[in-house]
Amino acid sequence: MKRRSERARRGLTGALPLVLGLVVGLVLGLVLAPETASAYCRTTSCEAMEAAWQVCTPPAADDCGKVLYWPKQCVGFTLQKDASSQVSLDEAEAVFTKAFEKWMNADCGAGEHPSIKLEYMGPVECDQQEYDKKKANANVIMFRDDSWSYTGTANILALTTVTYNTESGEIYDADMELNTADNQGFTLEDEQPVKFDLLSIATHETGHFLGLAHSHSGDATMFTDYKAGSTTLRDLTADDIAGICAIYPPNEPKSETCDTEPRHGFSELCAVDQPPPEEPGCGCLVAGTERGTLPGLAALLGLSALARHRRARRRETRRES
Amino acid sequence: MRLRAIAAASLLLLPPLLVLSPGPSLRDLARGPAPAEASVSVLLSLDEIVAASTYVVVGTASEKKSQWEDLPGGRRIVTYTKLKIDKVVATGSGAGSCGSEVWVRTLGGTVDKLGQAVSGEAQIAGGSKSVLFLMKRGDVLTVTGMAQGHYPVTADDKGVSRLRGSPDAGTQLRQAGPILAARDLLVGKTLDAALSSITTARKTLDEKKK
Repeated sequence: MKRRSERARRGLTGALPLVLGLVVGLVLGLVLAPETASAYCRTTSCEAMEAAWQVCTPPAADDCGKVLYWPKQCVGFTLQKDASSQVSLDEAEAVFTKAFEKWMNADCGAGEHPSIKLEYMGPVECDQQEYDKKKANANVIMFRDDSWSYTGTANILALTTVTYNTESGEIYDADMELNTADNQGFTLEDEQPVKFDLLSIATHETGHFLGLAHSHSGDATMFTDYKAGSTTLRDLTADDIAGICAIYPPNEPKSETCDTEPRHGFSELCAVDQPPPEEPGCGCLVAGTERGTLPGLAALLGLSALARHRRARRRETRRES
Repeated sequence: MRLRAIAAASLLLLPPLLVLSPGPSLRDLARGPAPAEASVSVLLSLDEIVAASTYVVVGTASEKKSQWEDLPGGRRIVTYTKLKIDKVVATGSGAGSCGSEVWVRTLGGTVDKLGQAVSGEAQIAGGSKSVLFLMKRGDVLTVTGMAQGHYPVTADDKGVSRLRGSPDAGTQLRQAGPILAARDLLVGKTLDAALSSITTARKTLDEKKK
């Protein structure tokens, strides 16, 4: 009996380094293990919900809809010229340019980057969240210093509205509003103490601008929770990068020129301040007398066919990837 | 000897298992289930959201209609959801009767093949039952705090009605200090317990005013 307990004691002592090793291994595994490789979600147009929804990777039980994406490789963004008493126009330009660059320069592997380019188009007069079906548009980032437009939502710091085609998922317009009327303390990169870190908020919101929904990965910039005073959302995680590279695969054929013009053209003015749109020459078609109408129409049809062909190729490439 | 072999094998196998296993990470599990989507907002406490609301109701959504509307911030798509009121849980001081049916306006929706996604807004699904914190301005009812004022009610495995988080809750920023957010207090609670907490919060606010 005594010998057995002695053996047990020696056995335990002998196993101690291994048990310790196991504990250390477990702790190291927990600390060093990367977050779930893919937990990102993409914003979708869900017909069943008659609303925007999401599709996740790996798939989630309530996935629904057609994924949203910018159909052009170049997208422009602007800032409302008055910016904010908390953040000057120059500061805002620097922060949002940096936020978009983080997504554009994400490393999709083999030194490749997402096939989308965001370009700052300068400050604009327009201070309205809007998309006009007939007039020129702009993707505007605006601070709301005087009043926040949405009743009962003073707790909202930033709101991004994405307008899209429900059938194709193509994004037509995206505007971002920052609630500086109800919230004091938006802080810049080197400002201390940090309260509402503008670069963190900008990086997160620009992810929505580009078509990402919230991730299930706790460390991701696109995750849902974040603490006041934290700057952790500034840097993309592997999950965020997997998401942006899935929406804009790097192997897309690159266009040589960068055309940032929004749908129906670009204007610094809101739709209400723009002149009425020119009527298309439909009367000329009926009369068939106006010179240049038919060649113009043919060119338009040709461009439209080319765009359809490119969209089909994009979709095909996306399916294959 | 066998113990040593098992321990050694575990030591070799466990870290790769932790790295390669699919699904949520341990850190994610520790945080609990994540809401599905969007904006950046400051988390409201139960007292704050009750104080800001004209009505707190349990209601069932029926029809929905979306339309373009001119709001102070611009022209946008909004959705009106018809809500059959099952129970009025709390009423703000001085507010009139809520009625048995109301229309609630939320941002976003779809009109003629155009959609607008507004991150962080309450997504009230047709036919769903929810606890809703509502604010009235003029004739319009909106959801207080957007998705933070919307709690769908579903039955658990045992058939008990419980509150869930709104599916598009947005990025939520915790306030500094020991403030318990309404979301933390209500999500997962039984409907009865949640309603009791809300009623108590309303009573406390009313007593403070006296």
